[in-house]
Amino acid sequence: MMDRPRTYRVGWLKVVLLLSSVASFGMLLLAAYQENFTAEWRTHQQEFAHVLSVKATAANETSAPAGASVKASDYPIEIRQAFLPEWDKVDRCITCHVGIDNPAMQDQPQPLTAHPGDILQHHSADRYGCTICHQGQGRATDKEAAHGRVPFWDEPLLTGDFIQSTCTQCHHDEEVPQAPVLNRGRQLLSELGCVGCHKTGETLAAEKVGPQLDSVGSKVTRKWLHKWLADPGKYLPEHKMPQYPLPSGAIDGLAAFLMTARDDKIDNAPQPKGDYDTGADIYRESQCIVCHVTKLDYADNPVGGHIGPSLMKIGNKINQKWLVAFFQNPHSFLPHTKMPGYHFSKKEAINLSQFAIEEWTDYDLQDAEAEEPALPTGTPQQIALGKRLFAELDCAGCHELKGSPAKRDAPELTFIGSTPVHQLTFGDAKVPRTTPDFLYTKLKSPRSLHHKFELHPGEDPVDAIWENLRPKSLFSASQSLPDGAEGERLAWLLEQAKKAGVLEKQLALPSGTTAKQAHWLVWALNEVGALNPLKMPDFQPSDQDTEALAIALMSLSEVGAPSKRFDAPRRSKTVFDPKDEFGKLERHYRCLSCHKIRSSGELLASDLTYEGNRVNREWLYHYLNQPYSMRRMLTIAMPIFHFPDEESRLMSEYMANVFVDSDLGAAWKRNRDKADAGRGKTLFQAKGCMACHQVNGTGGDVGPSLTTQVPEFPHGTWVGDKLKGEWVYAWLENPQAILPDTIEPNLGLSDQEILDLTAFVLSLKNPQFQKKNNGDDKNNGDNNNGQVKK
Amino acid sequence: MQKLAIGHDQQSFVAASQARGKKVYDHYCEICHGAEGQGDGFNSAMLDPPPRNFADEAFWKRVNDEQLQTVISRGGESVGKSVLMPAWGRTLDPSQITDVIAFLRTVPALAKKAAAAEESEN
Repeated sequence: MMDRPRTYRVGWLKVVLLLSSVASFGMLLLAAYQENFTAEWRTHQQEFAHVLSVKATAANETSAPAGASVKASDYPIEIRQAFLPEWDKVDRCITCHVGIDNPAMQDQPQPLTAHPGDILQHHSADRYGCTICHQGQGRATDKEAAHGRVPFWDEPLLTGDFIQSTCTQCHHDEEVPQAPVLNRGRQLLSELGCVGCHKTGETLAAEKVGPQLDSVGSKVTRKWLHKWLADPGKYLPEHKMPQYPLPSGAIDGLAAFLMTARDDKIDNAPQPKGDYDTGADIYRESQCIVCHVTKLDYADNPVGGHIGPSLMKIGNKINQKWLVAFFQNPHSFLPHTKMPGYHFSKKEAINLSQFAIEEWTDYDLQDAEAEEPALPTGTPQQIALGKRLFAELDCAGCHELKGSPAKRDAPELTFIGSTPVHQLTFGDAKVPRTTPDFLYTKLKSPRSLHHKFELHPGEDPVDAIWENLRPKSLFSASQSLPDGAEGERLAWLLEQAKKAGVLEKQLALPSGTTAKQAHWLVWALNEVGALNPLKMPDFQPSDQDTEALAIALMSLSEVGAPSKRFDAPRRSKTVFDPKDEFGKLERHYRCLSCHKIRSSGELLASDLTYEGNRVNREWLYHYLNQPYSMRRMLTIAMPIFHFPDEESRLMSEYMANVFVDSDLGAAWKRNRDKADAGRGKTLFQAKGCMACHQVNGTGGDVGPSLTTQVPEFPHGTWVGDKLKGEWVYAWLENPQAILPDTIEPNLGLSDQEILDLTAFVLSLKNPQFQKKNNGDDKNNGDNNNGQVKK
Repeated sequence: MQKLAIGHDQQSFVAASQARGKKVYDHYCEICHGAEGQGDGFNSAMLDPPPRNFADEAFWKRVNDEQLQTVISRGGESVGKSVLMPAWGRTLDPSQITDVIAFLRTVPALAKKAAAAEESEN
């Protein structure tokens, strides 16, 4: 045996191995190069370093004190991150957004630019990072991944106003500062009555937004109720109640049931005819237009307030006897209404109702309705059906009705904002699979995300259809499903649907196989929306409102701050509801529907919190009796309530003594001797005050005139007749501290300037009343503050 | 380097500033300077000299952002103009004023567009 010489043969596998090793090595080198030289974030940081050095050089050249020159090469190029162990977050966003807290970078493009606004002053990037507010994938260092628009990242970067939805992690107040869209959305959730059916945790108060229905049968006509339930928008374009898609049988039932809610006292009251003209005077005095739409302008836009319902066409629906009873005591019909109690006698109420009915009737509609046949009264079956439907649809979520409590069994929304995306039902809708997109689409068009009912192979079609027929109440009175051949059972189903008014009477099953018949029946029932439909009505919100609502829902999240110490301090919200005589009057006249007192009420009219510091008691007393408009261009004023004398005395006394902060404008009380009205007059000119305020007919019309004339008012109405020095002083010192949204600028006046201006303002008294005012001084001791020293 | 600037994001950034500025403008300035910034607000008839018309292109050739920041925050008086323009520096913060200026810069273009639209209608 001879040893064969061992020749080393290079097998083809080895060649492959070698080549792939070289290739892998090459790729490694390439990756190392990319990561260390051309990574996205490196280029951003290099550019940033360059901008820094350019800016530093420029600063040196203009010898501005911006500091020594910075060399681009000194700037370390490295991964930067905010590490937030408590939040379990590592945010590397600042690796690219390097200039985020550098105000000098405001003029730079993304990603180098500074954060807009002053929000980082209270939320520094090292303490709060970025993704707590913005969401996105904090650990990533390339654009696509970081912004979170990648599969399986449930919290992509929030865009636009959606950022406001994360404020509520730490800000638990009802109103979040700097988040106006969120605040608006939350307000809408309450206003639209969402919280009547959906539970939302403790965050939102559940008030019933619709009218109480206890006497609705005495209030409206049967015809109107039918039409309203079928399509509210057809009756009133500016309606608040959304439309429920209901078959006519269901509407018959609901109407029959609601018409049984009657009040015998109203039905049997005798009713003389009222006087239109007298009623019209009462209407104007009562300033109904502040809260109600009462007319249409030339372009058919509604004119009037939206606090109460629109009054257009109420003549077509309302029973005058009910209206008269309502005017005399609105709170017994609507305990939570914002409508004030007026002092209407029965005669006045009749006159006002006469005006209302003649003024707000659509006579064409009335004529058309007169030709329609009268509706039959409801049968006992219909009434029972209506009661079941009222409960099934949870009408009590918005409307109070004795004996019908609300169920609030719609899907709970307490944590909707943090529900994982895969648990949300998108149906076949072509929208991106994100929570904001889901919420927006659902609100905009609730049914677009809903799965249509379909038959699945293997299940009994008759059982499945029967199980999903809605509204359930329409069918529950019938017997349970009969046995028999499938064809017979389908025919029975069709019969039931016809009986309930869901399908047209003339329909019949097509000939063919039972499978074909079943599919036809499903199609027909789907067409009328009777198969497992969504209960949620379509509110048809505007794009803007939809976004606000979606943002508010996004904020209902389980994700919150890891510790209580991140909670923003709650602003104390004291509810103004005194149990004294004034409180009684407030509840009767509902002052808080227009006025703010401390943090309660609305700002439709003036804030009364410091009314005692603001105005003279005597003026206030006369004003309550004879209110007038504060602005030349405004015809709207406080209603004339015809307060009994003891009430207007009590209210003016109470406000003068209780609505007072002794610190407000205290400097005026200390230093008023040093004030000089003459100097103040010069200042008034020099500071351009007349750009906005008129004095004796000269000046602008932005703020109120300082020399308002109100004929026949029994007291001076010039600014010096009305306002107190302490308030004028405090106002001039810082108007926004008193009324945050006022457009009177804070002029940064010196103490002496404020004193002089205050003295000048107080010197503006109507000479006609000078003598009388001097007599009043003994009462309130503040009217002689404005002596003019010359 | 400049090619790295992410174009549309920067655009939206500027647009956001203009939009914020418009809100501030509508609240504080519109009553004198007018809804379209043409110096024809509700209160302008009461003022002599009349409020500035921001559609005037010659005006924009004369001023820069810094000067505008001064006149808005310290009032007309500070640059020898009318006292009827008050100082807003204690009412608005600097970033709000920056936003307002960003909006004001869009006024001439908006005015041109509006004029063109009107012409095509006639």
